[in-house]
Amino acid sequence: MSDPTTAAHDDCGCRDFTTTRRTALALGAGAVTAMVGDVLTHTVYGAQPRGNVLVVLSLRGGADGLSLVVPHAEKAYYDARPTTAIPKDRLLHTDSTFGLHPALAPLGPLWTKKRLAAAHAVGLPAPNRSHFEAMEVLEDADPGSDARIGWLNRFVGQLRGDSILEGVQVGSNVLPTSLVGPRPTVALESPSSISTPFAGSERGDAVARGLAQMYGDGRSRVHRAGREALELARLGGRYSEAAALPPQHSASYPGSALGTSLRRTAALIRAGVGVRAVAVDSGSWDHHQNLRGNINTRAGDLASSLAAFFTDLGPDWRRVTVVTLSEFGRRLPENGAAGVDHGYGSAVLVAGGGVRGGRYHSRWPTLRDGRLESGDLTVTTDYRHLLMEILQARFPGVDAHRVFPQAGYRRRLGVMR
Amino acid sequence: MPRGFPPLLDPADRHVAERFSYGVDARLADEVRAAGGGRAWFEQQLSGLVLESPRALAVATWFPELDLPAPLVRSMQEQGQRTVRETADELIARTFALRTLTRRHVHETMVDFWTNLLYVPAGEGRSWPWRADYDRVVRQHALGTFADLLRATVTHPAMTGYLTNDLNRKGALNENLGREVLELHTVGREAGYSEREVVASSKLLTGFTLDTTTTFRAGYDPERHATGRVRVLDFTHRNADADGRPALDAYLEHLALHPSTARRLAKRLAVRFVSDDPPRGLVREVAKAYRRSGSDIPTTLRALVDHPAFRRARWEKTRNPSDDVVHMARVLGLQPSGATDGSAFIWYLVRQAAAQGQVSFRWPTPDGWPEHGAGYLSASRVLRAWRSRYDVSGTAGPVLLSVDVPSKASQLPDQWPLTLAQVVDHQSQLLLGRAADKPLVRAVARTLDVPATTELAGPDDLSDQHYRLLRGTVLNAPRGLQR
Repeated sequence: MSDPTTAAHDDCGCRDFTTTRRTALALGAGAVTAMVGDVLTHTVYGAQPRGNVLVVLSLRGGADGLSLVVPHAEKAYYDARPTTAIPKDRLLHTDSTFGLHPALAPLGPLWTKKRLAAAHAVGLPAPNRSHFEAMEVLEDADPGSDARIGWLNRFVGQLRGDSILEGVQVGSNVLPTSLVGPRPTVALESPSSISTPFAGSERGDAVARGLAQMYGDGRSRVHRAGREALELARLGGRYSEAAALPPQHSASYPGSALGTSLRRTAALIRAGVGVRAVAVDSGSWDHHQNLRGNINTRAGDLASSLAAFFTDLGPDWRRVTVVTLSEFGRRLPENGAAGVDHGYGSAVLVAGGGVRGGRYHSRWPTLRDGRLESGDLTVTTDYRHLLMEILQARFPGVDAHRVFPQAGYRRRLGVMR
Repeated sequence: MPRGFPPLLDPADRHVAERFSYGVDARLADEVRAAGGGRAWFEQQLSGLVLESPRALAVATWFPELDLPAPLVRSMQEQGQRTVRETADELIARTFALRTLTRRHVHETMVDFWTNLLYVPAGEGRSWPWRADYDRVVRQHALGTFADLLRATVTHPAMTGYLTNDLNRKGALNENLGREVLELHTVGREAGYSEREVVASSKLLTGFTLDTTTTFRAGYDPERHATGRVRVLDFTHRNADADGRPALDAYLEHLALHPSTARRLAKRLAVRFVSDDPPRGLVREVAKAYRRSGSDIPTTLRALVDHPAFRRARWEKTRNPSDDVVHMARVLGLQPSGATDGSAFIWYLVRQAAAQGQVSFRWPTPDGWPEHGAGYLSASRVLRAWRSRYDVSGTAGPVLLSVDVPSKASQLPDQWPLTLAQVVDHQSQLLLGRAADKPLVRAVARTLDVPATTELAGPDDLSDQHYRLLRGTVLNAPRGLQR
């Protein structure tokens, strides 16, 4: 078997890639495992040349961008949210317009080191206040086509790598729309049991050969899934081994679902199995009630998970870029339950390699009467243009216009170097 | 290969039972034959006159605390006698047990379908003490009319809590439920309602109360109801009375019978029971039957089953993990007998569905689990499904506790001697509903490490280990994930 980690990264010629590049081992990684055993596995794979990675963190439910990245210069914000607005003196890293929610404090070091940026007034090209439709539009991202193919699938499809683990959903066994499509991708709820039955025994080899026979030539979706499963089983062991190790560099993750998913994402990246795009979900961002408490919990979890993730990655942080996305922002005014209903424009956090961090990027439309969309923050940066900017900076071999076919051109926001 | 074993059922008869049950085992095949075929069996099932199996009836006694009144469940939790998680898990385990043991297959299948449409997760913080009662209500209406089902579920305290309708009141509307009633439960986005109409929908839903902080008592308070004329799509109402419930009933009735609801439900039924991409003609016919019958569920289902496109769609659907683990238990003849502790087989099924990424009632958002089958064919899921077969395909094992396991002889042919290939063929008919093909026979021979031509004198010639490997491998054929 050819080593998937040695393929599919030459399309990345960016700076951060070369700084982590070390002398490539002449042997395939599998052969190394056989020779040196498990103990050295980590160090050996750690030395493999590997390409950049995009991590898309979906804040499901519609995150309130106005609470995460607070426009403290806007009187309208304080007027519309008498019980839930965050006072300016509690905000972090303020500039003349914005400040970060206090619960994002664990991200402070990343901000100060200019590895974390925030963008504002980002969202879908047209308002859609339905969770499910907005998410579908966001992740399919090809309004001209009826085919259900996600943008991450189109992205990974262009990399032309041969690893089944090139595009992965971590934390669930169900693929999100963004990863669905003709390029095989994998949803991995956990790093355990990623092997064929009785793997590692003589019987196991016989079973695997039998399965290969049954799933070998059929053209049905089930046959294809079986072949993908056999391929995954060949790589799964390395991921399981990496995930069994404690986090590196004294990183400490929260025990939340998001913390667990990001810990596994770091292991997956370290395992050297050819991963290039990772989708991770964070749920419960639907703030119909108790915005204040809800956003505190969610933002705190997000911040401590992300901070641990970058600590864990160590020097690998340079090749990993994380972007948060949510289906919509929230209404500007509070509702009757100290919550906020579905709105439109929102904020996005971008962290890691290639980011022009430590600053806010926005074509800020303001919250003045004439500038609102049905009373809510409008969108001045189509989320697709922001993602294209990231792709162009980090994956120069990829044609971002084919990832987002209908998006057209727009001046860069400047989030990326 | 010599002449094969006959199928348990004629393919067309089997198809109806495949789609409207959790797995065609020998017992269900007998029932279909006794009824006079698949269509006649389906009719019998719709009549509601099918006697439930004693084993399924006994399941109610496994979880005695599940059906206690919600405020009592809540107070037990406050006193540390019961957790939210336990309450949720027990409902899931009970449901899996019923799916495994029921004889009212179509009813159970439709309970599943409606539960996933009018969705309230188990163990959700604002609804959990009411969730088992919600299940009771769905069961009561699953084969009645959708209009009745909709009214009973939308106004149920579990839905009130889950979609924050208790916070939706005069002067302080909360649009959560008002929006989802339109988008998810009835007409769908295509109906083209505006944000104003979402507000009107929410207004009609005001008045319901639920104490989610202490007692979980539910009620209705006219003081909280927002009166005043409303218009949603082509529904208008003066909504002048303090008690808004009659206006709400009229609204929900209107939505239930709306052509957009008919189309949307017809499509969803077709995706569940016909194919991931169902033919438009079938969807149209099903929608027409739904509308003409005033949302009568049996009439709607008859139109679906009688459509030629339904008959053509054999084996086109793949099972999601929750369906698959129950299917595995059913075709292997495994009958769970209790849930005394975590080692019981029924809990293994729930854990296994979780490992494969999909447990009924554990989808986090109000749209329910996706109905598309192909979305569940992730490589990791397939690996775990393959592994799980061998956990349960033998005569004994660490997960086969609190379950009646059929004897080896009862699952094998009566007439011997037979070659290994013939035994594989017999098992393939029993477990997959089709003759064994060459790759399957070869895979079994390879796994057992004996030639397919090996002659066996009787059941005892097949060791317990070989019996387990043989059945596990048969279930691992591609057909094992299809229905």
